[in-house]
Amino acid sequence: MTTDTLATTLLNDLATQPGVDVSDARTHIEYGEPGVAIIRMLSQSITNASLTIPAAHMDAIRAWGQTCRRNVYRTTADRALRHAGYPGLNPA
Amino acid sequence: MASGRDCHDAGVGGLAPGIDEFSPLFMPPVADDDSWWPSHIDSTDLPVFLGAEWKHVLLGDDTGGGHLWTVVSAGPCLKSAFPRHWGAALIGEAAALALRQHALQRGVLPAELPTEDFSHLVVVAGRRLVITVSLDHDPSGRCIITTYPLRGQGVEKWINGILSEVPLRPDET
Repeated sequence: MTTDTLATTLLNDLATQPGVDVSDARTHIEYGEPGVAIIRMLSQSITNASLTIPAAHMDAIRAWGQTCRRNVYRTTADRALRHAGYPGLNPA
Repeated sequence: MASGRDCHDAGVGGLAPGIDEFSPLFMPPVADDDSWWPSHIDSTDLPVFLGAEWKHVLLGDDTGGGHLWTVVSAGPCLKSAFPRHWGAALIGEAAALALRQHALQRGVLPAELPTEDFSHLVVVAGRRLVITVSLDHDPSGRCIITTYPLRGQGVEKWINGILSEVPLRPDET
């Protein structure tokens, strides 16, 4: 799954959850920064109890994080996966 | 939501002899894990801006980015473009201004800003534009993960298949 697709998929799912603000993530996507949108949504899943990443997306998040070369992206994906009770990323 | 055509690979080439920091062809001559700011900016109070993030902002990578006009103009995509003749020097100047304005509003030093995204109106090289700066943390400390233009003089975006300037809002002019 591409970064664009994963960002849009997460956005569409999270936008329906009450108490979740996806406006910044939407702007990031609309201006060509889907990777930033993803890590901001994943960070929200750690800090905002109202936000739940659907279990169906965990494999895609792991696969995406695994391919990221930028450290911040890998770290955020790893933390979000572990926070949700799933295995984190393999070491780089 | 429609997804734009991937134009991440529409690069502008590498560093060539005689190209200075103000050239849109200039690439910061540092490794991915080293910080760089344009030489005309005092960066002692600023977060790190790593070589990998400069590549992301200027040329783009598999997570997005690529906001040089040359990259965006290669074909319809979702990216916004900094003004046509801008390179790392002016983009860095805009980011530094936004960081300092935002830090002043929050009463902290720019290098102490938390993980967040913020947008500010800046005036650089005679152009007024609103840019977004995204900050995060990595082992090197607070770092810029991206910066991109939202609207303003010389800021362009593909709208209905035409690369068009995105005007400032009336209260920003």
